[in-house]
Amino acid sequence: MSASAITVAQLLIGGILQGGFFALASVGLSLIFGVQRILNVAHGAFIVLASFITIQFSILITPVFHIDPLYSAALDFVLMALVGAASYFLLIYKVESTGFEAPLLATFGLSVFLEYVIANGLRFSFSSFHLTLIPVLDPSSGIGAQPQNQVYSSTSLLVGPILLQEPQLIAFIVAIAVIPLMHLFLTRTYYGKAIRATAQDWEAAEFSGIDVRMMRVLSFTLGSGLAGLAGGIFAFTNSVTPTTADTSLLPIILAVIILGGVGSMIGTLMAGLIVGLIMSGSDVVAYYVLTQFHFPTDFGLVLTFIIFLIVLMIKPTGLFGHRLQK
Amino acid sequence: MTLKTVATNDAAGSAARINQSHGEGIRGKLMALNFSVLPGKRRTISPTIVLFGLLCAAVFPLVLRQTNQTSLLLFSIYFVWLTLAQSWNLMGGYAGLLNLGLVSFFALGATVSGASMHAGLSLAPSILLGGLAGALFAVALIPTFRLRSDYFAIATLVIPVLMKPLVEFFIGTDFLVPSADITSAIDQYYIGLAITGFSIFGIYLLMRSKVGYALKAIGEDELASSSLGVNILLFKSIALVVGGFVASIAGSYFLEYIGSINSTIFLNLTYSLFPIFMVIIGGIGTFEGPILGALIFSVVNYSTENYFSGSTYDVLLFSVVIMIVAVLIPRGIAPSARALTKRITSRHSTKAVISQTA
Repeated sequence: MSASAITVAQLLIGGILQGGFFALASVGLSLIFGVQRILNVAHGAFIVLASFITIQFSILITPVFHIDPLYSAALDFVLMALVGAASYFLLIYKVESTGFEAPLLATFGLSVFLEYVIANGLRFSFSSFHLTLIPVLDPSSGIGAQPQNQVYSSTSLLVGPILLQEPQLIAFIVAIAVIPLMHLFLTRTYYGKAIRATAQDWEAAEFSGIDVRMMRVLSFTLGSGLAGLAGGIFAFTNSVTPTTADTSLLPIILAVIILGGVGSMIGTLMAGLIVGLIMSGSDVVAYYVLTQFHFPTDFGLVLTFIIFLIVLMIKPTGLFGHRLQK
Repeated sequence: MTLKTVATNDAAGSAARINQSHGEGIRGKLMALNFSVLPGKRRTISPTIVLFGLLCAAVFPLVLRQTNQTSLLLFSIYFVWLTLAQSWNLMGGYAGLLNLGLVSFFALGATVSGASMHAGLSLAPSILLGGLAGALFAVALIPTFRLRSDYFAIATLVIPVLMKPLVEFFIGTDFLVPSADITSAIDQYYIGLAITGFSIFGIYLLMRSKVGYALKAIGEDELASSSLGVNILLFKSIALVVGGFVASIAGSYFLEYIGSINSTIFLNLTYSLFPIFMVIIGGIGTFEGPILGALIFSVVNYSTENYFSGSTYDVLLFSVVIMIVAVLIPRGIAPSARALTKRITSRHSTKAVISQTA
């Protein structure tokens, strides 16, 4: 293999690994959007909040109790499920019957609120602790969240000529493990089937004795918990800022859930991998082809979103044609 | 007068009232079908009040002492917000296009006008050119109308992210107002006031025209109005193009106000969100809504800037307020207030009827 071919393969594999994370980040929102037709725009903020919790965990808990910060992902799941349940009862419960706009705007408010809390409220404790395993937050930088180059683990696996970094591998494995579990939950258990029934036709579901309200609460809580899990993983592989949610995370998540078909778990997993591949592939194209015409390198992102918009225009039910709504 | 006749009279009266209140919609649909019939005028004093307010704002610098005139700069930013709220109200309120990416118009206007000022155009043509760029961009977005409303919202949320590298490549990264085009505080104030006045009353007149009636019909029942022959695509496009033009003009003016921007403004969701918040708080799809919302925002923003300078408490406060409004008064302040006054006055009149008969 020539050197450039190895680089390309490296980039594409990195894209697949990143795609696993995209899938994990999107699967919760796909569930919520599929069941309730509520576009929870605060999903990105949930993810970022969870990754800040993980970073705090590594700063406060890890040095004292010597617990691997990876375990805090479970804590994130629980905490964000609680946050999700709270925001469902306080906010979405009241507005979900009024149509599509009011919940959207309410969650937009929630998103801005959480970002404010992340940027201003969680900053205070950063100044005194430096002993960490994962990215430490540099208190001198303005918005408080510039990770320095200390990483959780610099171990990497060498498969042939290709280098796999451990944090990204962990994130990928978690995503690959969790999403089929979610699929099994939705297809094999009573609660999963009831959630899907609610998604397909809530009136019919109610007639057949399903507690529709309960299923909505359950799916929203579960979806938020999954956002927490994704956020915990996110802290290991990426640098996090309070505005990461809106500027880079949410558009990609939306692309993934639309491509995968709203409410479909396996579809979301495939779409996540595809988006990861498209992003890295279009990065390759942008780097090797477009830069010769003096295009800037972030044209990869443009190609990704153009593909997304085209799919949205042609087949809004997603690439995998899984139709959940009426 | 016996009680029975009163009752029938009352029933007839309430039927007439129902007809009246529903007449708007049916008439709107008919209007959209047959434009030759002129609509009856709805009595409201809000435009007069707004006009009076604008006149007060125009006189305000003359009252101010000569030395204080740089403080006018503090107010110019609110013209940007008010204009943006107007633009979003036209798209999201009247036409039902839930545009979550208003910043793409805003930033496009700013960048295009910055580039044309850099190319040597003077201020007014540059601002106009920025507006035209936004209108053209809106035309490019017309195919997305095929999408269902929630997918349209998703698409518009993604578009600014897409626009940033494109603008960086085709137009540039940093934009600076050249020294020849920098205006004095008072000129800037009046330019902003003119833009705001034109956007408020331009959209007001648009909504009084056949376009407005068609949009109202579409807003009430898209299926019914399309079966009555209203060209939905055409009227929604008009709303988006005019709204895009207004938002881009606001962006061009914002560049003139702030002096320099760079292309990361495309990722600044503030300019997408705050106008939406203002419109929702004030009352979506009403004349008063965006103005009321922008006024409330301005007062909150101005006082937080004054009392806690350098803080962003207004963001916190606004995000909490939008959640409260979404839960408690989803229609916004203006329609709720109108419904409240109507209820109070109608209760009053019923009491009068009862006391008369008794």
